[in-house]
Amino acid sequence: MDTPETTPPEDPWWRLMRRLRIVVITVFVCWHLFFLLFRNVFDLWETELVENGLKKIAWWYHPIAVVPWAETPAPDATDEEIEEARNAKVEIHAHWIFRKFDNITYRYGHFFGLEQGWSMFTPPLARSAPFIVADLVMTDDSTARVPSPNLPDVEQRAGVTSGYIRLGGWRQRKLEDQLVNENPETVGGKSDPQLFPAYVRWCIRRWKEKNTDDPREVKQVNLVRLRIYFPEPKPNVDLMSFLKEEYPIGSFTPHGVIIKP
Amino acid sequence: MSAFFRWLLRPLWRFWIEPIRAEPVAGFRILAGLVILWSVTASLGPRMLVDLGPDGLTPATAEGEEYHPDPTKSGSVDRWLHKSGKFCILRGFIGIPLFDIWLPRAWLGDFVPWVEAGGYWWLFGIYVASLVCVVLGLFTRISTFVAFLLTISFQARLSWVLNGGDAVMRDALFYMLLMPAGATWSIDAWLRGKKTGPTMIEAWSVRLAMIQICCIYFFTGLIKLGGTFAHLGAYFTALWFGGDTGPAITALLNEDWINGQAVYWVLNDNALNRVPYYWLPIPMKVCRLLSWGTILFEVGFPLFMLLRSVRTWTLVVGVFFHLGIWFHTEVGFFSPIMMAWYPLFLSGESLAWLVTRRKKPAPVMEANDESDRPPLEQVPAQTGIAIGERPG
Repeated sequence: MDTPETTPPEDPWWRLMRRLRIVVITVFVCWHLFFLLFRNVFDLWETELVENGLKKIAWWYHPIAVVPWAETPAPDATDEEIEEARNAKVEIHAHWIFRKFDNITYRYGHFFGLEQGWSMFTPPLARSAPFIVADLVMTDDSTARVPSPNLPDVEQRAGVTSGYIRLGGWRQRKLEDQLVNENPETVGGKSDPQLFPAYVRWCIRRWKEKNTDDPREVKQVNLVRLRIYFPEPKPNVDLMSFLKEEYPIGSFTPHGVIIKP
Repeated sequence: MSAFFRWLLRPLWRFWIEPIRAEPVAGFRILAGLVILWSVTASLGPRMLVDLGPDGLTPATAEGEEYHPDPTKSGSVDRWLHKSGKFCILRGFIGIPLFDIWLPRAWLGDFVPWVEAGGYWWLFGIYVASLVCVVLGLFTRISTFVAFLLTISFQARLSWVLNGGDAVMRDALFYMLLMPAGATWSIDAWLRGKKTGPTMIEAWSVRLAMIQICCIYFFTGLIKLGGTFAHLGAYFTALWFGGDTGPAITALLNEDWINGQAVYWVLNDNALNRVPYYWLPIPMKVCRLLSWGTILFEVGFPLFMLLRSVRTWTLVVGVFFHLGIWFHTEVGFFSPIMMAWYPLFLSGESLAWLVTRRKKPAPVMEANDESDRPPLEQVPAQTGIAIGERPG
């Protein structure tokens, strides 16, 4: 009598590892889906949802429980402060839980380069574009203008249709976006103070490369925001006519040190 | 009851667990790898000549600041990296768990100044080589990991000159790292030897990547609607309580994407556009159609991807949508990298047919035909997370 063929029993260790792997993947997938939902929603609408919504609900700050939550004492803490930090307690409420998830998802997203909060051409759309321009003041008080390489030739000259074809330059535009909206009061207080001096020195280098025979020396650099307004979508509007405005950003020495107004 | 749960869970099970063919992942790997390689060699590399170095445009430390192995005492870039939880190999392994504790401070003190003085070109060479390996599918898992580490590091160091396209590239490499990206159409697969029948892989990592791209479209579309929902709420409230609906309607019609003027303003933005609007004055009626079409495409993308009947057509529209953005606005590599994700939404059979032009094989795994399908666990695993070979 033939006995039916049976498959050999699976190695228990292998079976355990396989099940463990399934659990790990399931947990990871659930976590990642939560991350995508949480970060996309709250990165885009935190003010609307939390500040103007959830915080006004009565139970948002209502304590659910008080639990021991040891804190890290300061490096120079006294024994009493260390003891106090060890025995610290925290009131758990909805806002506390929200902030914990906010922090964890923020850290996870930043560490793996997965920042969410996707947006492009958000309303209201720009009606004007700012460009950075450097006015170099020479030792003989004459001036020279070094515009951003992204500043397009939009002028309409007599009988000639002007224009431009832009290929590249978007990384330079992103860098200049960090600088262009400052003004003489705020220019020194940015979190990246090294950008302005480097930009000023770069403008001078560009001018010198283009004017190798010019003996003049730069004594001051004034950065200016040139704002070009787009034509309104109205009938019979002159599409080649652009309103322009200039605003000061800040003044610098040739080495990039800010000259206070 | 259990039948009800089976009915409820069956689509979920099929979506996440059912093995799928590996060609979409390979297509994604090759296209995304090529776009990132193109971006790195044609855009980021040339920028490094301007931005890095002794008098670069983006110094890591301000005048008078010195590099310090403790990021809290170092320059603004290191403080920002430390605070935001990002890592950057170029700045001395800041943020990489354990590394920033284990590596000797004295060693870091030599490494970072060496990188800033020009050592970044060596790292750039490794970066380019790893991306070439990703495209070819050579040592795919390791080369993707190296490319991912260096993408994050270079982008963290040059964070001022990035746009959304760079963020999508980071995402692409992260998801590629989760996928068995070298399962087919790769040197790795060729070295493993020729197998009969298509290669099957686990679906979960591919599904996560698909959900990521749906999130990008959906939330980008939703944020474009701005205050639309608030205005609609105000309108219906006024209508319900017999109030004046005029202000709500006026506010609604002032929304750029609702009145359809949005594309007009984008085309006129002379900080972005490739050519001035007056060279190609697209009529307002067309601008309106393009504006409303954009909202429909972006907000509807996740739904359209669920509907098999419109999926391919939506992707065709997406290709034209991104080509349109690319040809008219200078937004770097955003359009090509977005299109590089599209193979993930195509079936393996279609992609194999597109590439080889051979007769479409009979469907390997019809959705409702489970009679001849081995459970995933019986599909022999080959490498990595799960690369299975369907028995010929």
